[in-house]
Amino acid sequence: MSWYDHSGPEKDVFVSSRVRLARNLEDFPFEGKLSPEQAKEIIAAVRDAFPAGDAYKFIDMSKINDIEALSYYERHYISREFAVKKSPHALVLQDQTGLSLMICEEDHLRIQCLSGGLSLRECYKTVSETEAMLSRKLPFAFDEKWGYLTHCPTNLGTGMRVSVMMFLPAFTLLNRMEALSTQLQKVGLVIRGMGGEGSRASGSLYQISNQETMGITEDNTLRKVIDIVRQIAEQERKLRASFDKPMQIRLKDRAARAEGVLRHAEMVSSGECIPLYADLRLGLALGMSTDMDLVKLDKMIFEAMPATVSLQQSGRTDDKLPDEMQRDITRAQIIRKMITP
Amino acid sequence: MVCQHCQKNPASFFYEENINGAVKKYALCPACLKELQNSGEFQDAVSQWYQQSAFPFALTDEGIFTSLFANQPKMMPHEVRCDVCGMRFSDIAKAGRVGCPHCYEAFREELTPTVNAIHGGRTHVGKLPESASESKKAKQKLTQLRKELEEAIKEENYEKAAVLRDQIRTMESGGE
Repeated sequence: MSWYDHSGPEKDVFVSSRVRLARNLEDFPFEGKLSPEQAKEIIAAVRDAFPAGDAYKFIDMSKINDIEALSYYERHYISREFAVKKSPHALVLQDQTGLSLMICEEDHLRIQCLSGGLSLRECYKTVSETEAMLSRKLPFAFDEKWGYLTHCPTNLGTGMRVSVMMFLPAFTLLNRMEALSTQLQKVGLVIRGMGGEGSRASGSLYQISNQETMGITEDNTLRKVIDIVRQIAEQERKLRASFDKPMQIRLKDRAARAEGVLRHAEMVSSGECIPLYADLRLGLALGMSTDMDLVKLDKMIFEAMPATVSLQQSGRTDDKLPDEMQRDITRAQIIRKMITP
Repeated sequence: MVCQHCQKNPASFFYEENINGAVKKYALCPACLKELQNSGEFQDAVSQWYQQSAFPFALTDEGIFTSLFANQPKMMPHEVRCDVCGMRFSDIAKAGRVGCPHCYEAFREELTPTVNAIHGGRTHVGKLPESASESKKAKQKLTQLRKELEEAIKEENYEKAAVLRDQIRTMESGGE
């Protein structure tokens, strides 16, 4: 079971939610000044701060290979920098809550929680409880004026970053993204396209997050972000409903074709995967008749990525085929299995 | 940063002096440095240029921290280092990041304009850590006790000093 196997509220517009807190231990230098021995000390201290037993899964990142590490990145558990990092670092996971804690990332601790749909409050509850449990055992670096002390001064204060991954095909098709981005900037939120430039390649997926971490409480940050992204979701739904009949037919046709390819193709490349996903997801939102559900479809954008596919491929490689071809075949098989009821 | 004398060559010499509270900063290219040293009018001349063009903190590229330090000196011979991690403020300016949590205390004054520029001059209103607030209280208490000890010694109140010394020792060794 992975975090994205669970559904969540308002899935039609929200793919996922994430909350993370940056924390550092008082008596250790930051990355760059941190020796491998000190990094190991931090890892051991954090590990000891967790209760014994198997409620949490500990992963020593230096003991797994690059492909496995990148797969964690593709499935949003860790950052890219963390996946390719060479000095000692470790990961703590708890699949039923979606907790994912990076030890010795840019900050000593990055406590985060991932969850499906719009579920920021649930995510915050998990990270906040985890943080409270750890803070009883670990002295976190803190300053009365500047709050939690972080490696990069942009995270000072609450050290909290709240973000949602939104599916905004109507905004994208109607060229409203730039205007939205400008509006968001004015209220202190940042929007980034996922998976590359251009409306088709990006899959109409966007990550929206808060920028302010100082002079605002955790609760008000949540309230503000939830309020704004809800408004965006309302607008997106209105725009989707405003498509005229010919447009609706064209979009549903595109979705049906995407479904055909994803269900029947012998090979699917990583490049075509996301646009097909977006076409199909919009079709579902427009009421296309199909037996597919959004959780299974969303799973595709996490598990059909290169490193994750490579992991599935190992052991059943046909030596006569070129690597890339074999990977596209495996990807097609994974997707077929995933989206066929 | 451009040399403050010729306004043409990049400055590679940075110097800051503090004489009875009068702070003077210099940023010069090697040629101008030599010229001014030879002319003997070093101090006055340079300090004058400095006042005309102070090192400005500018938020040119929103959210990009390193750009805030773009106009900062690259090297100051006399610079202090953070006593925990050894970073100098110029190292921090170059990296865009501090070396350890203690740097925020060690370079509070230098970092304040940058932190204010990023966070709009606001201060933390979010939650407080149990452990940090406790250790903070402990540190304050320790400072207070040391002060009292000093006074007790000054007053030649050795009985009181002995008690205070024991208290400090217990706290330092992690006990209550």
